[in-house]
Amino acid sequence: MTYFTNWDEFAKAAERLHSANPDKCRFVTKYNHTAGKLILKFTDDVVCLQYSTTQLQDVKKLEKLSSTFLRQVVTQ
Amino acid sequence: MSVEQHLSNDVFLQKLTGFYRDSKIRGAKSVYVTMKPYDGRTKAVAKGSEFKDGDEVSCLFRAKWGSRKIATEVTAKEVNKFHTQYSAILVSQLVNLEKRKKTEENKKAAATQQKS
Repeated sequence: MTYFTNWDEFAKAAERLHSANPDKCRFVTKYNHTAGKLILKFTDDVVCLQYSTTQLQDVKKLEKLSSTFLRQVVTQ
Repeated sequence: MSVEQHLSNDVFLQKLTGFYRDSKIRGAKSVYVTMKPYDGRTKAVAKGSEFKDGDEVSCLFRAKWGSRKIATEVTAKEVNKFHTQYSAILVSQLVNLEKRKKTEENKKAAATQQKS
């Protein structure tokens, strides 16, 4: 599966996937310090969305997305 | 090592910070953090079954670094507190990423953002 190159597209696709199948979705973040790389994965075991970045500014965006996800999970 | 019992939120966050810190010093292993919905069950259920109505769904947090694994359950009550602390850890530990470069493209993007 290829990586998204645009954050907004990734975030939107993740939201859509989550609203379609809220029970099955999971969100994985992978951080490799040596490579200076952050990889995000959002999947419901059928569709898999991935985003890879080396930029510090994306951490802020990750915070926002994980917060949204977390809240949606506990309030469903 | 398998996942042991779920830790309390505070202990989990402490250990998670430790994972991030250790990953800087010891080796090239990645740190994984997974979040997923969780209904509190401890036994396997039939394939394809979904969460029932009325089940209290919380958020399961798992972290893995090398062969070490930890997990915790975040309930609706603790979401705000937990996420604030989790964000703080991200900001303080994910330090080996590139800072934004002031390229032409970024300047343009900033300009269009200000307009809208």
